[in-house]
Amino acid sequence: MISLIAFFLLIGILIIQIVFIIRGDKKPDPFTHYLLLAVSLLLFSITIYRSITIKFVAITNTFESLVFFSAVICLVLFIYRLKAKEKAIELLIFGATIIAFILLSIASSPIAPKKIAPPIPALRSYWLVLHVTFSFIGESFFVVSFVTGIYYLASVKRGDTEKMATLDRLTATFIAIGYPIFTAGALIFGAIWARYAWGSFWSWDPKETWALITWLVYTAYLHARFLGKLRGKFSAVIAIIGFLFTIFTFFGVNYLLSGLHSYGG
Amino acid sequence: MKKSFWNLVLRFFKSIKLALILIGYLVITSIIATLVPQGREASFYSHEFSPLVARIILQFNLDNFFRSVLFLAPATLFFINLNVCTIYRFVTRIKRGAKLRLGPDILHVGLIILMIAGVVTLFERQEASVFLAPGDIVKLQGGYRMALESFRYAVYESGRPREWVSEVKFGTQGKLDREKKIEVNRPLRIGSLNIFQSSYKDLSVIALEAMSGANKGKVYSMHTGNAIRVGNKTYNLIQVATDESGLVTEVRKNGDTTGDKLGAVFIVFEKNGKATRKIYRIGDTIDDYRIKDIVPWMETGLMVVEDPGFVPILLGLLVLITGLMLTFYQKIKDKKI
Repeated sequence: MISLIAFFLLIGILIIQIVFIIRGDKKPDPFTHYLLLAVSLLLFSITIYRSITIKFVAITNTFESLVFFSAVICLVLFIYRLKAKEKAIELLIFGATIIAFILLSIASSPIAPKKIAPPIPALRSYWLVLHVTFSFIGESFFVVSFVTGIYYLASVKRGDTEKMATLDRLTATFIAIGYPIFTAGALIFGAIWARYAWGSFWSWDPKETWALITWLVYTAYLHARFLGKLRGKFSAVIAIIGFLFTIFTFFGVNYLLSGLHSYGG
Repeated sequence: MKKSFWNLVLRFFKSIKLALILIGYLVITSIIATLVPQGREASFYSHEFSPLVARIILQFNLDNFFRSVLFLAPATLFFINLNVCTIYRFVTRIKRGAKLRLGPDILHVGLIILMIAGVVTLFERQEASVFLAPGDIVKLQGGYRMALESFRYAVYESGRPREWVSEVKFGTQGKLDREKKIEVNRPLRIGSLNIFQSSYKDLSVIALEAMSGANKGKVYSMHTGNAIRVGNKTYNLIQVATDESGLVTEVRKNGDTTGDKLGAVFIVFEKNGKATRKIYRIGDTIDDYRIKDIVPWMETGLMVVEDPGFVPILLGLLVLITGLMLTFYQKIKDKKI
């Protein structure tokens, strides 16, 4: 029920954002970020309720993961809008809101069973909790950098150099924040959990390998920034590829490739 | 001449472009490696792929990619590049008297330690799987012996596993004077060994006696995982349980049929697709069959690991996370975030 309210609230937010974008106001709308905060709190309440029910942190299946991910994205957008104030970019918030909406839609679909079930022994680990939460928090910043990357490429076509500079800086900023959190979650805590659960820090499981691939792409992004020629368009493309790999790591590996990590369902 | 050669070598190995090229190569080849099932028999690839693709996979060791030259050589080059970059960056900053930004340096050092530890683990890690029935004793390295006291397997009402617990006694010099539990995510450390709860075997069996018909009196055995069709229902034996709820199997002695709470847990599938969970005790009947006996028989599957790379890996992870936190903190302090 709560996820349904959050879902329809997101639709409402998107409609309001579209109206403001079409109106062409120079300033962003003054209140959808508060609605995004409300969506975030509603989704977190689902996590809290399910955690109390199963007596463990509820982020061990696809539905719970997607709810948490969407919640964090909405929270990140709220904080961005609050900090950026009048300088906040409407299209950025709109684009990232669409992604949160898509993720919540997938959570509402049959591929994400909603049954509340306590975790199996391999998932009963606080290292897993750190692994999943930090990964999704890091990835929520990659969502924003994905949107800014796309927006940057669109600005290149229009030749808007001022906008390009702003978007390039924003992409770098969001990746700079998300990268250490993602590294800690996906690689460090994930490796420690794997060691306790399966006896090995790393076993080149498809999920682990794709997490490493994603990490390498963002590492390449950060290092490419040192080479002036590779800033701008190249960086934007890398930011876009990085997020697509993030999504494949979560969905593609769960449903197309098999391995130790096949707990998605 | 000599100086310019070494300068060239240094420039090559400290180059960010080299790092980016190597990262690109590792990304692309790792993607390909995840699309090829790893570590299978050669016949598997011949069967699953076209002859040409199978040949390419086996010729270039794509079936064991992460131990192949195609991966290890560029990874080694990346390791050298990382070392040279890290040292050069640090030394240059000190020479210039520039502000030390230690975050990225510590991060790089963490990665270097991890890569070294990874090589140690690759060549020195030893693991062995052992299946033990209650009462079995196994000899371990370092003069240790370990005996399985009991094995407990529990499920939730949905049938999903809830816990696997092996109670063991262990010690040295012939004594088994220490007791511990081994559970998933809670391994046991004995000396340099780590023992993980990794699997189990359920070899429990029930005896069904036919009560009528041509086979009256005949006794059939049914193992867990087997199913029988009786009338228009299918009875799938999923577990032999030792408690009233039918959710726990705890075995201290295989073949012990004296427990009065012994139950055979079935999932019963009806023609309309409905499935229900039912527990039958000794003496209960399933249509024309009577449960004559229920024999619990379990073995725990433990994985014994000795990995000298364990401590360096932990150290590398610690250094890495320190570097990450410092980099993040320095960026916030510079207001670059």
